[in-house]
Amino acid sequence: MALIVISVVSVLLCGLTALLCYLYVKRTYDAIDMVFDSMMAGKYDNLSETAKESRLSKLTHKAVRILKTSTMDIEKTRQEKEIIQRYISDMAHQMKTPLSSIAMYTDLLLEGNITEIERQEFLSRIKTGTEKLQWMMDCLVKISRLEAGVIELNPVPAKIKKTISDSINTVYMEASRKNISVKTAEFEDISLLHDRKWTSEAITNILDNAIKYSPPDSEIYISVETLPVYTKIIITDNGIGIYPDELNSIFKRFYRGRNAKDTDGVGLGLYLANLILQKQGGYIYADSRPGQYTTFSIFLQNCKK
Amino acid sequence: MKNNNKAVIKKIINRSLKSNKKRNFFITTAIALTTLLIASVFSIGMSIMETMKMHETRLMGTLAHAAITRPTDIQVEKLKKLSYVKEVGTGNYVATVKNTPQMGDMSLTLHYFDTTEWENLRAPAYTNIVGTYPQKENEIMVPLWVLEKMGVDNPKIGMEIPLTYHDKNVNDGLPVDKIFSLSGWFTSYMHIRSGNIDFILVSEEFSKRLGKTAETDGAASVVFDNSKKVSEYCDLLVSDLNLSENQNVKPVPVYNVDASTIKNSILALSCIVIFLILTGYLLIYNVLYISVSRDIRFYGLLKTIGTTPRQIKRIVTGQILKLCIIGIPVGETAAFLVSFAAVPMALSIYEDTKTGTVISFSPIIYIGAALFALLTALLGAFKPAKKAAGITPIEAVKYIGVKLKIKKRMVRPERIYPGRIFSFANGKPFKMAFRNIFRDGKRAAIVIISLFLGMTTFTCVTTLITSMDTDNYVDSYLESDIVLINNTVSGGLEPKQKFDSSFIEKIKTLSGFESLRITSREWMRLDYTQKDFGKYADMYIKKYGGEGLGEDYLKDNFSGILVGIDKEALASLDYSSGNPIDIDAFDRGEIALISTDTPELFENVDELTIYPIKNTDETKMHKETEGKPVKVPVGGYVPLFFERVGFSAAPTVFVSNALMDSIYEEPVIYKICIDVAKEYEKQTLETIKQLTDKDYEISRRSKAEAREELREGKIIMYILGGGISLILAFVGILNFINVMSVGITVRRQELANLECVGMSRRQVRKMLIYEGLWYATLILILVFTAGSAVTVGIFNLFRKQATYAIFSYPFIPVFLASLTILAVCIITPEKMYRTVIKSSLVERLREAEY
Amino acid sequence: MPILSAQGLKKYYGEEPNIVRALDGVDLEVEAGEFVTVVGASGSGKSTLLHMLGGLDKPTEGKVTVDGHELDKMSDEELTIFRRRNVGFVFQSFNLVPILSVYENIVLPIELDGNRPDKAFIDEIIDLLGLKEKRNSLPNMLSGGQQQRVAIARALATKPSILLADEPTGNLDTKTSQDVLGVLKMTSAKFHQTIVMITHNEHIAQLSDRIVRIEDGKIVGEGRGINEK
Repeated sequence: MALIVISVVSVLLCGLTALLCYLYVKRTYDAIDMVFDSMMAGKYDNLSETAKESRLSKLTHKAVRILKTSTMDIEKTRQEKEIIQRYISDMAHQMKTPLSSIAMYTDLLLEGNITEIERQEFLSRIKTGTEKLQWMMDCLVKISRLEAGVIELNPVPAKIKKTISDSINTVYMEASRKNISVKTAEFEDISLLHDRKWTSEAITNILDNAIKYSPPDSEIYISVETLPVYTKIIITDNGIGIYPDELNSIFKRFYRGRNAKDTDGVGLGLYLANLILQKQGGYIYADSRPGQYTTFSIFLQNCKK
Repeated sequence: MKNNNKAVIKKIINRSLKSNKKRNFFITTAIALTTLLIASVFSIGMSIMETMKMHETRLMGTLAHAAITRPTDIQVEKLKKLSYVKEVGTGNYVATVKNTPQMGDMSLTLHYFDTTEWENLRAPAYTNIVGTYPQKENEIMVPLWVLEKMGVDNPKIGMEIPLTYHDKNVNDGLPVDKIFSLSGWFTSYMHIRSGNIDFILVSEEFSKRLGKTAETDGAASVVFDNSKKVSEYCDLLVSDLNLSENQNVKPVPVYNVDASTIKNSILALSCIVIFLILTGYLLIYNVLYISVSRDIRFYGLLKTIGTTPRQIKRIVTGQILKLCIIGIPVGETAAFLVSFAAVPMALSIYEDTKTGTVISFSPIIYIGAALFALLTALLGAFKPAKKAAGITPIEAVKYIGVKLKIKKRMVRPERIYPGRIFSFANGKPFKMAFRNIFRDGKRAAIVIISLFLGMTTFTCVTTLITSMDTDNYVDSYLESDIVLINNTVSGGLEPKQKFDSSFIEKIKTLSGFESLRITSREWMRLDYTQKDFGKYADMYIKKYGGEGLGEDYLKDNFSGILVGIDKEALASLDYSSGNPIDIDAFDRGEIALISTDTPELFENVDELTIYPIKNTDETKMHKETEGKPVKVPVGGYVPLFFERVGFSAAPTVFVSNALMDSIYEEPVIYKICIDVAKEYEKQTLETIKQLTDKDYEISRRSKAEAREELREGKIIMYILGGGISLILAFVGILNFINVMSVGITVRRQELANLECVGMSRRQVRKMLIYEGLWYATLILILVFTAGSAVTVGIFNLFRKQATYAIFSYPFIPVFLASLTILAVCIITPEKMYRTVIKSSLVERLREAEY
Repeated sequence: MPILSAQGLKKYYGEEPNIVRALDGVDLEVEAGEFVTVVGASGSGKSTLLHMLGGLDKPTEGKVTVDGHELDKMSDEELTIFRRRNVGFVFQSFNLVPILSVYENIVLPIELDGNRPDKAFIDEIIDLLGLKEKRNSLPNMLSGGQQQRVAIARALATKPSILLADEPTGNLDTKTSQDVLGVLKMTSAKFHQTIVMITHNEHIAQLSDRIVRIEDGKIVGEGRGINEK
């Protein structure tokens, strides 16, 4: 008798457990299904289930997160494309000025009827124009490749001294022409994570600028300071300086400072430098007092010990 | 399905515990103390209950609930099969032992028990069982006290015991001499209750030889499955067993443990438990609350990062639970050890311990104590946990310890004018300290209240203990130096004249004898008339109920107790309520006194007609003896239970001994009170002891012995009460130290600021000590005013229970306790400040940011 | 669609006439992946704004929507879980749990959500922030800059969509500030995070995409950061 009761009860209990398990699993699947449905319908913003202390809520949150990440990637690609397009149109616009001046001077030369002095003058103007175009073309290639991610910077541990001296060598001629001396403070030659070729390019651009906007016979100082995570390369000149309200803008494409109008330039050097630094996990910022000094600080990551 | 994030909570709990060692110590101590105290209380309570239960069974001499007389074998088999019967044992009377002169006055029978009866029902009610149950025909097992009476002081197994027994069916009822061999002995307690009635146990073989079986001369005793349904089951048994005419079912009369005493004890113990939970709760709550307040940044930060309120609650309570894991076992272990010492002490206050005491180690004590301690801890953790959970991240960001505006930026010392601050601090540091105390009113209140409560309880307990004057107690409870009571008078036995004239003469000749009062007691019947006793009868029937107590019944059975006393006994009566008694007339036997608290009921009674009757044991009927009725006028009233005499249907009547002697030939003397010269007190006591010892029909109370007992009791009270008050004081002081030290730790940054603006360390220290002194002063003022009032109030309440208590303020203990408080109030800030200044000023200033 | 938006945000403390308008009608939208700095003098309401954006405090009026969730509709518990999953915080005071080691601090929000930390990812962050050696140290053994880097690491650990920083360099010297900021910038760029950072330092603001100026509880202007695209 008792045996029968026990077995009946246990069968019932088993059945009940199985039923409950089934219901539980079904409910869970239904809930997951619903979550996926609303995500497929693109209504995932309205899923309030993502802030509850339950597994389902966590699952929903993660699913939404995955979806958003992928949309963000798509968005990013779209933005990059847009940037390039804008860049190209900017470029085209910027090219118009040198091209038209080249065209004008070429026309004047072709007309003849000019003095030797004038001819020399026009030719050198054409040369400047072409150089500018040349420079722009160079930048265009670099920037478009960098922006589009065609070129991947390859930051590897490398000694920084060589990089800096490469840059100084590049601008040496220019500097000596203005009798500007580039002085480097004593520093320890440490390894930094950087792509030497591109970093050198960035530093060169900054040095170029410094030389361009510095009076003749002045000095440019380079010093290196190591922080816990970054190493800071400081480049200071005693040139015309930048107005404080422009400090944020100088790294923009084709931006020229208000007091830089008298100097040749296209406004791509600092833009490129910033881009290069960013691409390798570093950053750059400027500090200046007009008429006194300008300091560019370049931050490169230290090598992990 | 729950999101499983227990692991990280566990980790935070463990780390939090690790970083709060001092707090843990306080809480663990609190938990352990609570557990210890609750377990001790439970243990005492359980032990009292078990001791009482044991007391009961030992006095009954059996565990059985009921007995069925003269059961047949078939009935016994049937009994064993009944579902509500747990055990069945049988036993039977074999013969009666004839007393030798040496044995004196006792009723011994030879008895046989079967194995179940002996092992399961009887043996548990005996102690010190040595040897085995008689197997051979000539073997016997004898209670120790009987052996002693027989003159056997060092019993040995196998020794020869000669006995003379008789039985009406054996040897034509003539006595038979037989030498038995002792197979064992035991301590029995039955005779204490029954007045020297006990069994000598014999073997089955011997029983059979005499032709005695359960069916002829015995009974089957049964244990039911539910001790509360004894009478119900007894009725069932009658029908289930088909009992014959001459058989009946007798429930074992439960030795009446005073239910209200137990109830009161339980009530008192539960009050103590609640009190303990309260103090434990206060301590734990306080420590935790402070800890949580101090960790506001921590909890706010956790919440910012994404710890939900529920998780934070778990973090707080989880810590408490972990501390419980340490605290409770420590407390339990301590309680286990303490119970060996404390429980017997406590028991000796409660019960007379003739039947021995039991220390209960019932798991209920320890499980209960653990549960209650856990409850206390969780209660204590509840509010702090809620607070922690409710902390908003913003609060945490803004929190800087105390509600005092502290400049966030570092103040440079030279910018401030040090002189001004100096003069402020220098001139009135005690004022500054006073203001500091009440800056956080709640904290100040908690500190003061907890220490005040501890101190006041301490004072109360010490007052109560010191006020218990033992001599006073003895004098108020015992009217004479030595009191002897005849136990046979009460308890439904046949009264014996234990104090015959030769006995009294013997006492009168003792050296140092001063006076002797006799209280005699007999049964009487009063003439009942509706006019005289109608009102009383109505009240009696209403109060004590019972059918068959109708007026007709009362008319014939209006019997009661007649007590003879000496006139001196009346001296102690209080006449303030009027109605004085003419003592001389009483002494001359001209008046009788009615024992009542409501004299109105007897307004119409002018004269009593007293018929002497004799009490016969068996039927409890009071048969009239030949004797003439006596008419005595009523001359006044004495309180109910005067001289501790009870009452029967008719009111108890007091007359003089002289009159008593004239009514009865030789009235049974119930009680004699002896007064002796002080210097002979001990000597007389010794002599009387020798005269009456081992006679369980006489009980003795003496001032000398009472004092002795009380002295022990007082020491025990001191230890227990002192222990409790010490623990309370300890809890209070712990609490105080905790609050004080936290108060300083929390303000370390502020103190650093003070130092920064030019307050020297010496000045800071002075200020802190002033703070402590302020606390001490406030607390002590409270203790001496409100605390004293409470103490006096409690003492007066206590006085109602114990009239003998004399108020005496415990100056020395209170003085010592006050000193301790002062010391703590001064040392704690000093010590805390020292740990604070271990870190540099700048570090401390910076801490505000972290 | 903006990842973070505030509409008509008001936060008043006290009652008239002593009412303090910490925020007095702020509208702000932040696009996903943007690095916005909020600048203003102390007491301008910038911290209050950040608290509202992170769901740490409830506005008197107005609506905050983060990643499609309307914060005012959530309970305290939901908000907490929401923060745990979606928002990273970095404060001026470093706000590390003092009883947990660096590593444990970093993975705390992950574990609070009942997840197993992705070891490789955490190690990457730790490595990136130069905390490898301090992995098992307790916060009080670290310098200010290190502590702040741990706080950043913790804010990044759950890969939250938004990182809110309240004067993260307020307690640091200039050099350390530059270091910590670099880290913040670099990591956010790397993990595509939206950052709203409060500062009163223009140099620091210079590093962001957009600068929002706040004065007396109102937005008074927007400037462009160095990386405006």
